[in-house]
Amino acid sequence: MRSLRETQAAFSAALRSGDAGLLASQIVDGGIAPEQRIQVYRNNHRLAALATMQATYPVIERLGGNDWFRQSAAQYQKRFPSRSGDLQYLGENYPEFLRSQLGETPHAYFADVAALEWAYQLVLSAEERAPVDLAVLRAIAPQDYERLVFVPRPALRLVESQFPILAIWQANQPSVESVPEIGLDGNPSRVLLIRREDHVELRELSEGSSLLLQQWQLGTPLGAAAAAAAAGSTAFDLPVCLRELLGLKAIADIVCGDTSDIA
Amino acid sequence: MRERPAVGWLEVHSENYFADGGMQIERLMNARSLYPLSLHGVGMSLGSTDPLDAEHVRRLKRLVGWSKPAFISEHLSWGSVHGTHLNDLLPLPLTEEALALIIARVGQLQDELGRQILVENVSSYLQFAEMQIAEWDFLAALGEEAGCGLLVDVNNVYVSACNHGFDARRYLSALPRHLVRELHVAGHSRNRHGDREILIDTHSAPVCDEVWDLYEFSLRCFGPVPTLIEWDADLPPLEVLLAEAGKADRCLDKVHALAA
Repeated sequence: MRSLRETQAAFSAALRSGDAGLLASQIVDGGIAPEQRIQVYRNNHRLAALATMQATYPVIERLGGNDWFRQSAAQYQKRFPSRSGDLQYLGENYPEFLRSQLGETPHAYFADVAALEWAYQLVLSAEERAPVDLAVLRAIAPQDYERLVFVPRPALRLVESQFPILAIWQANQPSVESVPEIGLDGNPSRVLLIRREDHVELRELSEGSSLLLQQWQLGTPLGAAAAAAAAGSTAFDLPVCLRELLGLKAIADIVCGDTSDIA
Repeated sequence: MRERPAVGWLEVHSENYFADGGMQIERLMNARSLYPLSLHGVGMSLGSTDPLDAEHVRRLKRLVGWSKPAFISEHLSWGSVHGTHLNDLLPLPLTEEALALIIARVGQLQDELGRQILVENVSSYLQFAEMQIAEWDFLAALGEEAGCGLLVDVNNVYVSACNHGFDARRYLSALPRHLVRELHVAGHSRNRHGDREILIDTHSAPVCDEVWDLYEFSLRCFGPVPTLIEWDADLPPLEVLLAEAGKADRCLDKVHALAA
């Protein structure tokens, strides 16, 4: 008799690779071949994963078509088997998988659109933290501004791409019937996804604001963050970017660089 | 929730509310403020030989902490091996080894949560030749040894009885009444394989007459146990679900009237 662990490993092999021989020898026939009985579980396994991927990546499915997406999801499932009992993590590595599969093809932009869709899922389920009350800034002496650390809200993500991924995402929502022609070249995208009360807002950020937000996500104090953003963009304008990001209520907290909380 | 249907309580899949925050969590908080709640997990993989997933346990514990459910249930099944999750409720070989393992793991989970869980029987589409213990005896031993309760899914008993040729009433009669804390009823589908068929638990159809009969039998065995209409795929209008819940209430009334 096989150990429980050996039996479970054989079951896993039967579901994942279709190699049912080892498991079939342990199954009662009862008028239906063991392979057919195992096939019921194979179907369930495949369909549950497909349904999760379809719910997570509806735009990729629409872009690639249902047949292509089914194949892509099945290949992904083989390459990146689930590592959690919570199916919501299943699609975590799909952008990376698409990058490896389509990186040098005309469909290279699929990977960045997938990254946008995964970011959408992360924003949906992130911790809730209210935007900081900007009145706290009144209590700060101007000489301390450089040391201020702006802490982004957990329920936001920034996704950058050389492709116009926000336009592609918007054009492939279920409510859009005919997809307009979108030029892929020369239209980079810097998309902020931020959770509002009852929806996720997606919007393009300026290059400067995107660079500043990235620095804030690293925990860089304002002085150094602004210097890094200015080095990355000749058009960087700190007051304009501050107004944009604070106006979007993207910040949960403002603390001093020496970590004493002033908010 | 806007219509506030007249139902006694609600049950949700635990994993759907493992998020750190967001609209789903707020909706459940709102529902919890209106109804008693039961948490029904599908991903704990109690029968796995891998260690319990500490992160999964942590998220369940957090959810239990704020939602204060009346019941927490998991399944008599396994779903992961060597770190790979198959995300299904897979059948266990019903052996002494499996029984010892799941008794220990249910005990560990109950210790982590600081309270009792219920374990539910699953539908199965195959049986292992090396089976040493009948499923009803396995569940009874698990309940007695681990100190957990049982969630008896009447449809799953029916589906497995048809698939494996055992007597569903014998199964139900063998479960200790004091362990059974909750019942499920649900719909299923039939897949043909030549001149034979396999029943599949789908939660996507009305409860069939045979399962309603078994439900009445269950109420006679276990008394007036809280019952869930489990329908989570191809959802019908709310009125259809409420009509099914009404049927369950009438079964309860009928059994009570006969007992009085």
